[in-house]
This record gives sequence, C-alpha cells and structure tokens, in this order.
Amino acid sequence: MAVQLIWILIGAPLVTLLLLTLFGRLLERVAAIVATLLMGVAWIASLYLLWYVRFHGAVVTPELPWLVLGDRVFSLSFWASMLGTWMSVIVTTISLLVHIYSIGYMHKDARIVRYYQYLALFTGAMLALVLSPNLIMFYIFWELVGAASFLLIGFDTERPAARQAALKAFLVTRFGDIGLFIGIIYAYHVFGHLDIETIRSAFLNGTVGSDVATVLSLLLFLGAMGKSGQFPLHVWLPDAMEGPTPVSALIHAATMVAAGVYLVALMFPVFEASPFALLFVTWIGSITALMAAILAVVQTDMKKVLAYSTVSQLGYMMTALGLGSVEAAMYHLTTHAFFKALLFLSAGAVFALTGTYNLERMGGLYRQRPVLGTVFLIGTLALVGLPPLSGYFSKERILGQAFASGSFAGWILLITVFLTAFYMGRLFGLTFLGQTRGEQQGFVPRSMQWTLYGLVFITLLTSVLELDMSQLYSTFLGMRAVHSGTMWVAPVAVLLSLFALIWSYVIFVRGSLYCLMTDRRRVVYKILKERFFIDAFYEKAVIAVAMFLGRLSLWLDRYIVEGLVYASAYTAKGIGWVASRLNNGHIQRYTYLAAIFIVFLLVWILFL
Amino acid sequence: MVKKMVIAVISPAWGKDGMRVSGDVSPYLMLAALLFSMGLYVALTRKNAVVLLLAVEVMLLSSLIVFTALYHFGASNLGFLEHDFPGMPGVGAQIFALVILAVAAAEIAVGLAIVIALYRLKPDSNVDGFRTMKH
Amino acid sequence: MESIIVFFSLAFVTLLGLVMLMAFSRVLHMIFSATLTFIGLAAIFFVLGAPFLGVVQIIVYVGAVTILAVFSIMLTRHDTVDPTEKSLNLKKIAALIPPIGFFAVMYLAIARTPLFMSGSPQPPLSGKALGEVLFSPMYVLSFELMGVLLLGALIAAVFLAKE
Repeated sequence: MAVQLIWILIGAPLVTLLLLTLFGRLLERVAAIVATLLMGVAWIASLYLLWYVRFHGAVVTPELPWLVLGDRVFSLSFWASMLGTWMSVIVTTISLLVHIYSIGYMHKDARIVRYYQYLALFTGAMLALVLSPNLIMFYIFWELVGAASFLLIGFDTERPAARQAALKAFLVTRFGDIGLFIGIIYAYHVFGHLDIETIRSAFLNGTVGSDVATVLSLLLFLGAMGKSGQFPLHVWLPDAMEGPTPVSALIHAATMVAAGVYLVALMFPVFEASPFALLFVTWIGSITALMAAILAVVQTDMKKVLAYSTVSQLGYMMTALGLGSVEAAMYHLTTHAFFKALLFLSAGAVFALTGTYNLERMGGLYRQRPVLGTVFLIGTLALVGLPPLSGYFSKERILGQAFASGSFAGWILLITVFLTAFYMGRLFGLTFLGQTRGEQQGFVPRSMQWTLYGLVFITLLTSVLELDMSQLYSTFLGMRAVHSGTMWVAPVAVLLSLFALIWSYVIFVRGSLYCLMTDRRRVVYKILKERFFIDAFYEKAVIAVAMFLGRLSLWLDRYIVEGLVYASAYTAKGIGWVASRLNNGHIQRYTYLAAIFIVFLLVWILFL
Repeated sequence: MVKKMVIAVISPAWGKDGMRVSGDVSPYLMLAALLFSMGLYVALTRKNAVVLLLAVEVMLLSSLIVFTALYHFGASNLGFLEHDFPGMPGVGAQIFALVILAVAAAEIAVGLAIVIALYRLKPDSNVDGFRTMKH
Repeated sequence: MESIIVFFSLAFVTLLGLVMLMAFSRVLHMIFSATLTFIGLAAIFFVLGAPFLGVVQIIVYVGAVTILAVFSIMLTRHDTVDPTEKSLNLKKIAALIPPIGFFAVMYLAIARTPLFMSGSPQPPLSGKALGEVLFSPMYVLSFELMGVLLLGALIAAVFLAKE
C-alpha cells in the first residue's frame, strides 16, 4: 500500500509531463489546471506517505535491476525514509502552491504549457531525488534538478540576461557537482556499492577511518556548496532571480537549494566521523550567512534582497549541520521554505501591482493594500525570527546549539541575526511604508491571493504548532531538544532584531539617521555593490582560462585532427590517381582477362 | 616456391597431405564452385554497374561457403587456418570467413559510392560508358 | 538422409537466385534475385554450424547491401532493361569460357582431393564462443584491423559520394 503511494507520488509529475508533451497543443487552455490537479494528487500522496512512514518505518519499493556489469548490479528502487518523506511533503506543498499561483502569474504567457512541463520535470526530479536509496540515482536526479533549474531560470528566452543567468547557474552548480561526482566514485571505490543506508551504518558503526570520512564528506560538501549557494559558489543565486517569480519561490527559496542541506543531512554520519569536515562546514556556513546578509543591505531589487537572504539562511542551515545538529538544520529548512516562499510570492504580488521590483520606485503600499502588507509583514517577521512565529523557534535552536558548543559560529550568527532584521526592515519599509514613490495600479489575480493566504496559514500553523505543542516537531522529526545551558541566547537575539528593525525604519523610512553602508559616495558601498568583487573575479580569472582552453581545443581540432583526415583522404586520392594510370578502357574486358588468367593459373598449378 | 604460396592461398582444400573430414563435404565445395562460376559469368556479361558489384559479392560469398563447410565437417589439417582453441579445432576458418565478410561489405560500400560519384560525372549507368582511363 | 534433402533444397534456392539474376531483364528484378541468393546462403551458413555468420550475412547482405544496391539504382538513371539482353553475340559466348573453365578445374580438384573421413563434425559455433575466440590474443588484432578497415571504407564512401 505504501509502495503504491510512492509510485503515485513520483508518477504524478511524470504523468503531467507526458500529458503536456503529447497533448500540449490540445490542452493549452487547461494545462495549468491539469498540472495543478495532478500536483494536488502528489501532495495528498506525500502527506499520506509521511503519516505511514512515521508509524510504520521506512518503505522501500521493489528493486529493478538496471545496470549489470559482470557481477555487480545497480538497481532502481525508491526509498521513503523519514527524512526523505518529510522533504517530499515540503516539495509537493510548495510546488502545489506555486502551481496555483502560476495560474494567475503566468496567465498571459504564450508558453504556459512549456512552463508547466518544466515545473513537472523539476518537481518529479526533486521528489525522486529525496526518495533515492543509492548514490547513483541520487546523482542522476541531482543533475536533472539542475537541468530543470536551468530551463526555468532561462524561461524568458528572449532576454539575454535570463539566458546568461541560467547558464551561470548551471555552470557554477556544475562545478560543485564535480565534487559530488568524484565523491561518489570514491565511495564506490571504498565500499564497492552505493547504497545509502549501508554507507550510513558503516560510518555510524565506526568501521570506516576518519580520513576516508574527511575526503568523502568534503567532496560531497562541494556538491552541496554548489546547489545550496554557499560561499564561494553562491554567485549564481542572485542572478537566478531573472527567472519568473514563482520559479524563484519554488526552486531558489524552498526546494532545490535545500537539496544541498538534504545531502549533508542524509550523509551526516560521514560528516560526523570527520571533525575537520564539520569544522569546515561550520566555517563556510557562517561566512556565507554573514556575507550574504551584508550584501542584502545594499540591494535595490526586491528579489535580490530575498535571494541574498536565502543564501544567508542556507548558511544558517549549514552552520547548524556543522555544529552537529541535523534536527535544527532540517527544522530551519522547513520553516524557511514556507516563509521564504511566502515572501517571494508576495513580491510577485507587489510586481503585479506596481510593475516593478525596484525598491527605489516603491513605497507606501501599505496604505493602498493593507492586506498584502500584512501578509508580507508576517513573512518578514517569521524570517527575522520574532516569536511567536516559526522562524523564531528554528533560529533559536540553531543559535542555542552554536553557543552550547562554544563555537565562534555563535557570534557570527548573532551578528547575522542583527543584519537579517536590518535588511528585512529596510525591504519592508521601502516597499510598504513611507512616501509613495511609484505608481500603483494593477491588480493581484485571485489565484495568487489564495496562494498567499495558504502560505500565511501554513506559516502561522507551523508557529502555532510549536508554541502549542513544542514536542510535536521534536517527535515528528525525531529531534532532540535544544540544550538548556544557553537560555540567554534567544532573548538577546530577539532584542537585537527588534533594535535592527527600529533602526532600519528610522534610517530608510524616515531618513533621519545616516547609514554608512548605503551611502553611494562611499567606498564601502561600491565594494558591496560589486558583491565583494567575487563575480568579477570569476569572470576574469576562471572564465578567461576556460575560454582560452576552448579556443585552443578548437584550433587543435580544426587544424590537426581535421588535417589528418584530409591528409588521409588526399593520400588515397593520390594513390588512386597513380593506379589509374595503369589501366584504361573497359573494365569488363580486364575482368575477363583476369579471369582467364586465373583459370590458366589454376590449371597449371593443380594439374601440371 | 611461388607454386606453394599460390596453393596455400587459393586452394584451402589442400593441406599438407589432404584433409581429414567427416561426412560429405564435397557437395558444398561443388556448390561454392558453381556459385563462383555463375557469379563470374554475370560479372563478365552484365553492363549495369550495380549488378556487376552484386555479382562480385556473390563470388566473395562462395568462398565463405568453403570455409564454413570445412569448419563444420571437422576439417583439421587446414594449414594456416588450423589454429586450435581447446574444444574448437579449426575455428580459424570461421574467423577468416568473418573477416572476408567484413572486407566484402567494405568493398561494396566503397564500390557503390564510386558508382554514384561516377554517375555525377557522366549520367550513364553502364560500365562500358566509362572508357576514359585510357593510357 | 535428411541432410541431403536440406542441402539440395538450399542449394537449389541459392542457384535459383543466380539463375534468375541471369534471366531477368529489369535491373531491379536482378537485384532481388541476388537477395534470394543471399538468403539461401544465410540458410546454408546456419546449416553449416555458423549461426553468427548467418545472422551477420542476413543483416549485412539482405539488409544493407540490398538496400544500398536499390538506392544506387534509384540514384543513377538506368536503362530498365540491360541492353545486352536479347543478342547472343560473341561477347556472351566468349564470356562463357572463364566460368566453365574455372568450374571444370574446381570440379576436378574437388573430386580428386583425398579427403580422409576421420575428423568429427563440429557443433554450431555460438556467438558467445565466437566472441571469445575473436577477442583472444590470436585474433584480436585482425578484429581491430577489420574495424579500422570498415572505418576507412566509411570515410572513403562518404568522401566519394558527397558533392
């Protein structure tokens, strides 16, 4: 019974893709409805599956032998573990909401069928990813998710900026994927198979040395860095905002970027066996969190602020993992998925109203659309981490863990908390408060509205659940409670956030105080605007080298390889020309002569 | 010396002192000879280039019959084709047959390409239209 | 006993193909008669314990060569009827000499060859066994050279036939 659930879950997006591919032209007007309905089916299946797995343990589908090399067999099957099923619920929920939202947002687009095809592809691949029992399938779907992301970011194919952003995303994550791939090969070399559960237990039992663990975990983490936008592979995420906003909500806030966190969480026993790797992860995570938060302060595009915010929050999750707490990371992943999606989709609603994402051309929206303002405010406060909203609980766990282990990361994260509140306050203030700088006409389509309400509901639900039954999350995910020696952290964090919110209000809405970072004339601003020159570095150093190698290969291919081909062809021609001078006239006559000659030769040899 | 080489090449039925076979292999050898002769006749008579090439193919195939028949009837003492694998004596004959097949396939491919290329030069599909390679 | 029936029927089919090739006047008919010969030949290979060879024969000759010939015919304007057909002239009589001579020589050679009946008939050589032999150090070089040869033929054919 549970097995069928898995097939339904994976099958629904597949069916969507098939239907849209085969009958796209027929279904054009109802494509959105069809896709949404099927995603609804998948969503229900995932919820059911989660319920089942929670009480009956993990489920595996029967294995299908797929690749046989001698006596090694790689098989396909799907594995619904607790972690995987939880992820699938998140994925289907947000995907369903995005599907509904897109009915309104993509209404005018002529390529709407293609859009839903890509969405189906992405969701299907993501679901299969979290349900993969072995590393080969994991890698296949990892790559497939990356490909779907590429297609979706670059959906507006007429805009060169979109195409370039898609390419950049693909290439940067590809670089991380190299690490993942090498890691998988290494794991195969060490273990002789790629079954995830077996590898996990091998590390849990301590039967594997810590150098193996270090190498493997660092390689795997490289892949996670790419997909989850950790420093220095974060550069693709802000540019990925060129894609349609629902896509940004689905892929780059909630699901695909969480795949890296999922990878580390899944393979956590490997990381646990290597203190060095954990330290590395913590460092990268906290640096990412801080750096992205700093950069978020100076962005003038709404979506870019949210993008950097995503990078920063992903840094939080990675730091949590590095500090040893898978539960805190997954908890934050869950809460973040929902309120970040809420924020992105609300930004889309703002776009529908004002026609722009530019912060400098907005303001005072709250007066016109208080409902939208409230929705956005809820999302903002959840992100900032004010109680009793969900973000507070998840951040509190991470911060608590950080200070409990006495790590430097705690202080970095605390500064980041301040900055988070600061830039979000700026975002909210510039958009909704203060004077009206832009025009506001346009309306928000119904489907978008309902989606927003749904997300608000979920965000509040997750908050309420924690508040009311704080054990619920713990038992459901099997998480440990937070360490109790660090009780001072949470209130301090909240106070910092409140202070930052007030300060940002004063600076940006009232204009009363001066902010060093956003002053255009200052060097600080220029550095921040150039994103710490990381992108420029990539362009000059890395891309230049790659282009050079490309041109070199082209020259080699054109002159040397093709030259050899031509040389052999002309040689043959020359020899043919020489040989042709030895013959003339009818060929049949010559055949005849040859035949007569052979007959005589035979007679001579055999009988004479 | 030349005689020996020629014998070794063109007459697989002649090992050092005859063949050891079981059953009746000669009907097959006769069939092969007949095929070859008829193919030769067609090759000498027909004027269409493609038919000519096909007749040459038939001639090549007749030699394959010889090799396969010799393998099947347990021919040992095949001279240079004798290399044995345990349990499979004379398997070199089959390998040689396969090689000849490959060569024939390659040859007809190139041959037909030449026919097409020639046709472009002069739209005539009979072989006696091309007398230009006189000396 | 049945082996004689088998042999004669297969031989009949094969030779029939060749005879039809000589008898027909339209080039397309000639090609398909040749195909019949190829099929008969493939059957003979199967009977003679070379299933792999028979299959390859079908794939290559009946499949590829026939199609190639048909395409070549279609691409080159041909006289549907071969002009040498109706006339019994010197050329045709002269052309009979080499085939008859060859066959006579061969017949005598085969009839007079001492063939000792002491070996034992071989079982059919399966594709797997053939593969093992083909990749053994003895023959793998020829195998590779065959591949190179086919590659060369491919390049040459493409180069010759393109504009």
